[in-house]
Amino acid sequence: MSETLEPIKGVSPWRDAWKRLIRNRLAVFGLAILGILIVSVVIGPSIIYWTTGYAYDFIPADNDLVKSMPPSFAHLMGTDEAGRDLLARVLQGGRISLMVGIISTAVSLIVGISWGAVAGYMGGFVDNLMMRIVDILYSIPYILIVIVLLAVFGGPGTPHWITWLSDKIGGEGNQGLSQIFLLFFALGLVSWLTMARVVRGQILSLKNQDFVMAARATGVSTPAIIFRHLVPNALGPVIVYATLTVPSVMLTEAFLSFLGIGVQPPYASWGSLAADGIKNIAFFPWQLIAPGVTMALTLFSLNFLGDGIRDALDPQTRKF
Amino acid sequence: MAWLVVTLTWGLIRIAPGNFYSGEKKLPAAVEANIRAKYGLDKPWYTQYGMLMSNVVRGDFGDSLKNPDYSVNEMIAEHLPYSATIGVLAYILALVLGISAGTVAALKQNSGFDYGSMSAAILGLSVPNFVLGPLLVLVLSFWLYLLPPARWGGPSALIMPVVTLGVIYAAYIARLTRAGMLEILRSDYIRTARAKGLSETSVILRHAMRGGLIPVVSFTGPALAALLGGTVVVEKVFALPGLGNIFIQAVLNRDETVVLGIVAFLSILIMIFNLIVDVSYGFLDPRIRFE
Repeated sequence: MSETLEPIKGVSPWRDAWKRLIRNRLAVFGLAILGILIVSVVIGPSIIYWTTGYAYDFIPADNDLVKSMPPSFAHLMGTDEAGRDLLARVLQGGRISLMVGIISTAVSLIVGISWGAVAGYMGGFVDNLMMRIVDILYSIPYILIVIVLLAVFGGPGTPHWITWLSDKIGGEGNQGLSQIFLLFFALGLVSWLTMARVVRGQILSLKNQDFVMAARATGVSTPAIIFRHLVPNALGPVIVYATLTVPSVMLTEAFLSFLGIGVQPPYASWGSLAADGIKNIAFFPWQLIAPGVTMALTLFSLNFLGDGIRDALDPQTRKF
Repeated sequence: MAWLVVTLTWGLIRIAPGNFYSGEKKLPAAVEANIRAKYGLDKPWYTQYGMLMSNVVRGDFGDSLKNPDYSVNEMIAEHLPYSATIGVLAYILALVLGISAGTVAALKQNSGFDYGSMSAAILGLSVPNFVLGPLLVLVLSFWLYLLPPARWGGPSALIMPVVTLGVIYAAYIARLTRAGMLEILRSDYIRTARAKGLSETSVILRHAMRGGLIPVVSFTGPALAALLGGTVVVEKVFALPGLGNIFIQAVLNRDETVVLGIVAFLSILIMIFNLIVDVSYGFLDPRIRFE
């Protein structure tokens, strides 16, 4: 018996969580669907353009083709009333919808993490004041505020720095794009509240630990302690909550676009495509079903994935 | 809180460029001056703000700017009943469906029913109500001719709007109930109740429910606020003359008095509900009263 023992390799908590995640069949299903969707949204429009020549805003020159056509081999999801290929539009709309979901969540992450971390670390009066503000904002019917915000600042009323930003990125005078930028901020700014609470709770439980005291003793500045030492340790719940924020933001975006105050033509999102589809629901149901089902599938996968990540990162809850 | 919301809305409207009376044509200067004088727009902003606040405190929001024959209060009184009927029925549906499904799922944890109902709940959370509503219309009205597709009239016209609005809250409540019940069922006082020899029904209905439903009760506040958003969509899909539709119209037309009036009214409503929720905690869980 002279074989050498393998040294025991430590398993990092992240790897451990990953293992638990891929054992969760529903979460893997969500991840797979989401992967397929993202890939097809990113490269799909180009592929359709190369193979068939349809773009999301391509209206056929032949007047006989400018009408709603049911799904066929040429148009897998049918066409809308202007004869535009619905698959190309749904994929293009998916870009906007996913982008709104991700960027708005990023905005809410930045605001929420900073707010919650500062409140939690400072404690006392500052904490009280900051969390009281969150409490007040919580009870506001924010959807009303967002509607007013978008209606008031949409169109010619868009603040200069947003038009400036969209001019820099998408070219001069791009009205539709600046509306989308406005959406990012409007949605991000109303969805950071829960994030702030989650982060504060984490920071409160971390800030009295020895490594923070060590950092303070070696003269690390307060902002560095908060953002270099505390925030990275609070990431688990933040990731969970971020995964669940993306679908809820996307739902709100779709809701606003459905009402006609979100994404404006020439751009389209799943919400505005569904709104267009509803007008013709009795005769051309595929115009609603195509964007609607795609969107439901995406949100479904995101929710499953979020639940899976929560179970994976927090084995405690699994016991129940 | 309501004060904050009204001020915020007023501020947003005030700093936006343009005016409610500006249209395609430029108005003659004299007409414009008259309009500004009538609505007090010629006064400095703090006077305008003061006028607004005194109006809000007196509960009088003035007349609609676009339909001067109606006062804002009349409009709210006329259109609120539609929204309230749908909203209340939808929430009742959500409570009944959500609590019963959540409780059974918690009791039979990891059973087929548990997985099935929780997957259904995630599905319910994922289908936007503006997709669900029209799909219901398509199947039940256009294909099966069972229910009227839209507009107000009779209980049968209420079924689809209420279901459309209620499903997502039923899903939320089912998940909250399940999580709450699972936690409570493991607590000591449930073991005590069982040890006393109480029947299982009585343990669940009288002891576990009270504690397990606290998350559901605290959800009621946010749910009400979200329900307002939901009714906007449902009213649009089913062409109902509710408050949500009026609000969207007013926002798009820049009917400022109506927007402010509805925002103030709804904020106060939500505030009252949150107060009721806070008070009811004490009744549900005696431990909270001492904290």
